[in-house]
Amino acid sequence: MTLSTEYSSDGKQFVIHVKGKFDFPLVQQFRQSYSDLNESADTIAVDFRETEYIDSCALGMLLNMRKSLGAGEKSIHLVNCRPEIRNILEIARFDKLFHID
Amino acid sequence: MRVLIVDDLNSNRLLLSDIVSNFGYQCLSVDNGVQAVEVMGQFNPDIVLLDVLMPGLNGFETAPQLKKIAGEVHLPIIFITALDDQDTLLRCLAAGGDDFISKPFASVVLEAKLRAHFRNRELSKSLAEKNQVLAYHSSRVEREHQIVEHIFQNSLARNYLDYPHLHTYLSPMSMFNGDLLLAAPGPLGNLYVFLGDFTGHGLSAAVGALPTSQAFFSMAESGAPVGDIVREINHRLHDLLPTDMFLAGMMIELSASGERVTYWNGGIPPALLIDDERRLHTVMAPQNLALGILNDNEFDSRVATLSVTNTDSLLLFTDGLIELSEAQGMLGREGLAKLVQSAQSMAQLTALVQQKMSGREQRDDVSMGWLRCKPTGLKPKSFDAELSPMAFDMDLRFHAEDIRGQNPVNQVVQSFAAIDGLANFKSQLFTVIQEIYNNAVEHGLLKLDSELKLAADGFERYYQLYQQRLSELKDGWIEMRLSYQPKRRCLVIKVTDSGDGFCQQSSRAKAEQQALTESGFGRGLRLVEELTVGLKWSNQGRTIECTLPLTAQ
Repeated sequence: MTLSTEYSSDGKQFVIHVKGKFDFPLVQQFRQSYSDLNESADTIAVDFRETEYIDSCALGMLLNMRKSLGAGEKSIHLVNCRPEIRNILEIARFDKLFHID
Repeated sequence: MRVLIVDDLNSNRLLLSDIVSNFGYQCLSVDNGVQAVEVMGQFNPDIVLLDVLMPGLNGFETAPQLKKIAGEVHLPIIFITALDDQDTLLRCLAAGGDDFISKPFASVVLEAKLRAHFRNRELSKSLAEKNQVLAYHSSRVEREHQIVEHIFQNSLARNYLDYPHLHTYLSPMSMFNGDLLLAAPGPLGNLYVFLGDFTGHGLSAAVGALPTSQAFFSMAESGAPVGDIVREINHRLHDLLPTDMFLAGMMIELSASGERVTYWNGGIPPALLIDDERRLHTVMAPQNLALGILNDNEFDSRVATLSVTNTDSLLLFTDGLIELSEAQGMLGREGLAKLVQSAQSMAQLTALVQQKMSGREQRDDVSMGWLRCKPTGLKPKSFDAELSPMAFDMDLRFHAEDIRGQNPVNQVVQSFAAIDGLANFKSQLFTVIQEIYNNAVEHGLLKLDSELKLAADGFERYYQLYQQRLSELKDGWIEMRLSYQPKRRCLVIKVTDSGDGFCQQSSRAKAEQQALTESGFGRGLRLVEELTVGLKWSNQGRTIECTLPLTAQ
């Protein structure tokens, strides 16, 4: 499975792990992963530690998530980015919309 | 029983050896002290009957020498003497004699004395044997401890306790520590720290440190999530340890920025967060059972996160610290808080803790780690391989039926990444080639309009349409030329599609305009433009060419 999700033990954070390629084939699965989020989760983290590549479609998916979660209502963290992936997120100016760590 | 008879008078010797032989004991008679010393080694007597007055070496002089030769095993010496004055008797005992018998004597008395002293001799022999066995075992145990200690040291050789923002203090109760404090850098510039406390103390408590540290170091190196690492440690310990033994443990991961702590705590006391005004906050309370108790299905590896700032510090410690004995009870969390507030640094805190410990018997392993939440300054992992010097061009042509079935970009990237030194650039290669290829497919062959994405649910619709048109694709092709130029340290990518082309001006303008919007449109080519140099269109927008530099960012 290339996409897995979990809540933190205190239920406040929802974490999405993307393994391998983060691109078009994940569109549906990614959208579904956050479709019925618990009320308690006020932060969403996308964990890129096992992500090898991303493309513009992945950027679109992230923006879509932000929009469907009410653009800024919940804070979205893009965490554990390798330098190459961070570079792509920065080129896209995603640091203005997300917390990149 | 072997009895050595030492007497200068032949008649005495004969008489004594007669009596002793009649008792059924083996005996040897010599007529002076010098000879007695000489036969000691060979005859190895159990008891010596020694005359006091002899020419040459007399009895008082002979006795100490015989005792010396006998070594650790007690050799009873009975003086046979005609003198029965008190002074002589005292001298006999002072010279190392164990008893005396005055002539004339009854043979039953001699026999009784021989038996009594033989019992002492036997006791002493068995004691000496046991001592020998004990000495053998203790030297073996010592040797084994040395070996085990060596293994422990090696297993912890990768322990990154030199990390500049982590200060640790470990005070084991015995030679082996049942506490464990591990640190390792991750591949993303992140730092992992694990604090563990096994049930019990000493070697039996410490053995579990081996599988724990092995799992920790190898998984930290590959950058595994905290939950996965604790799950693996739990799995190993659950299989390995007896039921009544487990490992209380806290695993934390500090992000490269030093602002995000991800943690899992099973049975370690909550840590103290010390903020820039030296206020203390209790954080990271245990949410779980210790490691090694639950099976894989029962185990809860969910983690929690803590936001910190670069002026915060975290103090992690095992219960041995708060349970330090004090004049009245234990140090406790309040006592520790007082110590922490009066200490300006880990060195001072350590000194205060040592002061508390001095003069008292230590009852548990005591460990603590002070982690400053600074940006880690750890370099993300990189492979500094030389680029392969062999230049080549690779021409690929994809036909409609292939394009319909699969995306070839992954295979192209994989084969490039297999070339020496190119694995470093895998991520950029993928993004650039994927974007260019997708652009050719989506706009060249499938004639999709990016403006679709602007609608409310446009993103979804766009990709639905994409899949529909892709499955119906009958004609068309894409040509890809990849020129690997190691001398220029670059890869030139040229892609042509069989579509109608488009007007580059308007597309470029749209891309610029939309780059900062949330439409998801034009973003792909903008990425290509940023990651490559010399991007240009030709052939009425059917051919795109750009150069990906193969240099460190």
